[in-house]
Amino acid sequence: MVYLGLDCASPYLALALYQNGVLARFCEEVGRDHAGRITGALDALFAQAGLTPHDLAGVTVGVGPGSYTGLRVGVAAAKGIAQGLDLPLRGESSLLALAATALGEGRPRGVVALDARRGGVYAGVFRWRPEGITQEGELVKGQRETLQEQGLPYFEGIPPDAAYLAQCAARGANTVTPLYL
Amino acid sequence: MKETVILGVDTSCDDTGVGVVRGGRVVANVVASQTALHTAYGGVMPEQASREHLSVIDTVLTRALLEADVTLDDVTHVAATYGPGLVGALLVGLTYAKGLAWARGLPFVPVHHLEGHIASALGASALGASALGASSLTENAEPPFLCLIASGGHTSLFDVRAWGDYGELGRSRDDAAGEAFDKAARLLGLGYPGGPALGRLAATGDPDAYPFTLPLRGQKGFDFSFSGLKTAVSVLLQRQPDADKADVAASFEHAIVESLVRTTLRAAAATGYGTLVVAGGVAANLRLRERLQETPLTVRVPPFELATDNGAMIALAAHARLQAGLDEGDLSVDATPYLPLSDASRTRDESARS
Repeated sequence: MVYLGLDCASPYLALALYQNGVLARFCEEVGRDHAGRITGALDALFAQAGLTPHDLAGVTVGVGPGSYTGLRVGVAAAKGIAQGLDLPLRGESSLLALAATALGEGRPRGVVALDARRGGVYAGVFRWRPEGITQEGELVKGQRETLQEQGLPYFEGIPPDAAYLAQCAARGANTVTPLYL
Repeated sequence: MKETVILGVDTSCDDTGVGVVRGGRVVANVVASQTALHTAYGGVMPEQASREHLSVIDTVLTRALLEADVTLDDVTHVAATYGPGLVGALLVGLTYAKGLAWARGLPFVPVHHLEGHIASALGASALGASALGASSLTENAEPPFLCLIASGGHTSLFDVRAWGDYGELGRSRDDAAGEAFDKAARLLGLGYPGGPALGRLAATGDPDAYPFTLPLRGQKGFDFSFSGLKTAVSVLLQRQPDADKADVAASFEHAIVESLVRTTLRAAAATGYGTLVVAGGVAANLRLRERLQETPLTVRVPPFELATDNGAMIALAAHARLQAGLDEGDLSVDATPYLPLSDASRTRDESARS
């Protein structure tokens, strides 16, 4: 069962294929050019894995928070791909994908943040466990300095881990609701 | 050649449209209108429009496939509007359609929104034709012809030399005709979008009651200008608060229709074309239709659901491009909010590759 994960809510265009492990990854900083780059990146991803879209069993997309335009591009593309191939579509927080990059066995808990412009950030506290990553408490829009003083490792500006999103696709479809914060 | 089944997607403004064209005929045309969402604001809110498109696009596609009685396995091409329009709104339909085409390995045809309006000629019937005539396939207009697009977002005259070969003869220098209708309707307290209500009120008034000056009289070109007429209505209502609203509506409508018709007739004389296609929501205006029937032109008007923004016209444009042997397109095409059609038909290949 091959799963696709994608996230366009940050300046990164992140894609990955997963089947009992990472099959292929594409992650580049594209600024605001997700729409122009996404199909080319998908081609590169599938070529790397030697697979075709028809091999897919499910899709997970990062639903933000983040750039409205970026997350719309991600969700619109994911909807088109999932509907085109009659696949279950799942939405997960884009911060969860960032947490997957930041956290691991040696560093199981931290604050993960994404630039919200005007000096603020979107952030959440995340915890890694072998069975998966969970968010503790609410997603907040706050000040960088306040969050950095919480005594937890603080992560911002890191690329999302699309492979973690792909892994989540095995849980099946859910209601995909973009997080416009 | 296998019969083409083309999906067409348009999310350029506030309507989510998906249509299906099979063998050149419209077999589905589903439009989810956002009018109710924007009414409270008195205009289209771009961010809200983008969100709504994203939320409904998949169900609109499902409905279109059902209406067409086809499955995705039957679909041979995917087409979508890439500009002009609200960039956030365009991105939703374009990216969704690209995702779908990519996943299924189907050729993708990016379509200019106004080329879609022009291609609605392929579903048009001669004005005044009987219901029987309207359903006849031979009624389709083929280039060359003159095309007047008059909607809430655009007012332009095009010299349609061939599919994919368009010259803009003139355009509105300010408000679009439909926009002017909506603004005047608002001044008359008819709500938003009040253009159709203004048309109904005008039917009961005297078009000669208030002789508004026709815009751009004496111009050599084929441009339009409607914001002055809207201002004239505003000034009139301030000076004469008791003015008969039906008379004001009828006089205003008369001025818009005369401006559209007289400029179009001059363009017809200049190009030598005898066939006129009228597209866009204003094509539904009864006075415009009546007035055009008095002219020597053969006038073709698509049915209302094909004249306003929709996905079927985008699929028709893709059909016309394919029939004419024009290029398909490229999945790297990006949403382009400002894009003159005369440039698009020539430069799309280059822009798609860049």
